[in-house]
Amino acid sequence: MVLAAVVGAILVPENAQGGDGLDAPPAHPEYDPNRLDPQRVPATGSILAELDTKGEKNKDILIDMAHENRVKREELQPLVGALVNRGHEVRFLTKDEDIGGDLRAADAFIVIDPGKRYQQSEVDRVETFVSNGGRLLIFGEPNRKNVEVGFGLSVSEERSQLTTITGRFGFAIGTTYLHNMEHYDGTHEQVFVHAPADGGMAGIDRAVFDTAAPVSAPEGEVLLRTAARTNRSGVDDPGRYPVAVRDGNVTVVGDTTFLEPQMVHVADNEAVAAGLVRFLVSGNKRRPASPTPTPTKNGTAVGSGTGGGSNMTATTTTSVPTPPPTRTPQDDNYGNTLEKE
Amino acid sequence: MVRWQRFSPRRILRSWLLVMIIGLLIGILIAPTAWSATNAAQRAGIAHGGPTIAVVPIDGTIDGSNAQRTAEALRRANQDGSVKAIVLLANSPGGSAAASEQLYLAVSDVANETPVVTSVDAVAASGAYYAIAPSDRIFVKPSSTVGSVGVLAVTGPDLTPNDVVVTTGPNKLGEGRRDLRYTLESLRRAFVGAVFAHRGERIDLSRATVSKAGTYGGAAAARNGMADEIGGRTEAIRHAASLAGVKNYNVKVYRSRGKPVRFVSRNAYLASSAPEKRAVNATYLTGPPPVTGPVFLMVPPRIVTRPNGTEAGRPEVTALGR
Repeated sequence: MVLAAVVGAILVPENAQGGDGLDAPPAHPEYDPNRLDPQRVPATGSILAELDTKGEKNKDILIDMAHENRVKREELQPLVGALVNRGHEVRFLTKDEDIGGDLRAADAFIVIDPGKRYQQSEVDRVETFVSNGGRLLIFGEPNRKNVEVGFGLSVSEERSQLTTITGRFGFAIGTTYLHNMEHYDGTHEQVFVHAPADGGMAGIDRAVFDTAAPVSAPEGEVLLRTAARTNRSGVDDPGRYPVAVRDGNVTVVGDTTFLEPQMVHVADNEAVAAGLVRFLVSGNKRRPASPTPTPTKNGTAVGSGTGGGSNMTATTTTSVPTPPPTRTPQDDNYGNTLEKE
Repeated sequence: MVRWQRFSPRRILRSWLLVMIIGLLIGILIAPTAWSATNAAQRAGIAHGGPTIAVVPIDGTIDGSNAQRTAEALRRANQDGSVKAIVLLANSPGGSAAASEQLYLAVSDVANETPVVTSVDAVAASGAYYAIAPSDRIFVKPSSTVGSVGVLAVTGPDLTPNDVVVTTGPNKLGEGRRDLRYTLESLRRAFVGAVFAHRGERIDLSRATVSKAGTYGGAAAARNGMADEIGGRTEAIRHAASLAGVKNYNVKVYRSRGKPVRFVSRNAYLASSAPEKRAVNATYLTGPPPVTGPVFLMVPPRIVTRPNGTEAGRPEVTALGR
């Protein structure tokens, strides 16, 4: 009996006695690579390259670089290129130039995250420009902490200086950044933003805004808002925050990063940029026929440069207030097919 | 006839009876002494071969050397046949992401075989919380800090093609902002996933909330499940013994000797009972400029930041951690 048991054990196939360990379950299932590796949002597209601005030509676009704007020209290349490639002229305002004179010749004015506050006289000129039909596009960012690597990380704060100009047109930009712990591209600061189905950018599925600021305007139309359960940094108030709002000839966007060359092709960022290009070139700016005497208010010449500290000179405007232009279907159409969300 | 009479049954019986009586007398004489010695040995914890609760410190900033020494101490403790449970004494704000993951894996492997209980001193945050997550129970004091489940990366700027640094592929000049963030997201998923794999049923917070990388004081942690109970080392050791089913036990500390424990966190440094310890500057984690990054860290944020304008070397800049 014993001999039979020994012979039987020898004859049983090896693999029936137990595996060789190759099919053993992983020691740490919480580290499943399929679960750890996030799915990347595609970064493809040629919307800007194929953009049709419906025959608008020869518009003059002025970009502010006179207020310590926290943007580099190369970061604006996609936007500038889209404008220039369609026959429009792009100029940069530097601090030694006459904002009044430059705005008089411009059809659209772009202000990007200034580090220096606009003086009241300058805001007056911009307001006159908008009243004459000029398109104003403002890009803002939240307050940020500038970090330098030294002995540890050295931190200093930079505050947004948009209040004086955005406030004149009824807009406000939040000072804290938006984040979403559930719907994001990469990390929580790259929030998804969507266009309302009945808004001017309807059809944009989702764009990615990086460290964006919320934008508000009681009279404005929301063009883009964040996904649900987005929070402002330091505040426990989840919601869907507007990040791009338009009111007449003024549009304010709470992010600039999405325009940069390495971000503009991510998700629907290009479609957002294309919509903004159409906004810039679809206005009907009225230019004064000839220079008129400087109007006065309370005996003081309007725009005489008495605001102090500015090299800006007075601009010539009409003395009769001009009502804001009525919006036409062309103005409202950012070129996207209306789709239900 | 004469030989047979010399080994008669009666004589043999009498010999055995004599031996037994002598042995009994000897036993009676030495028993009190032996009993006393055994009790003393148990009280002194030096009874050879008795059940042991091993205490393994997770101390100081977690770097490769620290993680390796701690993992080695864990291995020695786990291989000691007398060790019935392990208590981790955690007093660390974390450190290197890779070293923290290595330590987590070591603790996780041991916890699969032996009861593991943690007692937190000043802080077990980020990488250190990662390491203690596989514990059967976590004890904290009211002043303890736990949490900070997340990753911090310090990186330098990407280069553009130039005549000095020439590469075979564009990502050799820098991985790009998006790629870096996807990597960070992967590390976050691993960290949060590990915490929830071991403590998910006890944590009363969502993954999204934990991913915010908040830190929690002892009382808050005991309420929301990031820790289990308020208590100190004694409570942790007793609980470990109860998990092991032992009532009388020795306590033995397994600590690697020879190198002082480095602390970037002042808070942890002050609370540490390491026989040799020293405070180091936060540049130990970030490196002096230029940053040869990215450097992936699992530490609370204030460990590596300081207000601009303060001078290096002043106390408030050496360690602003929790």
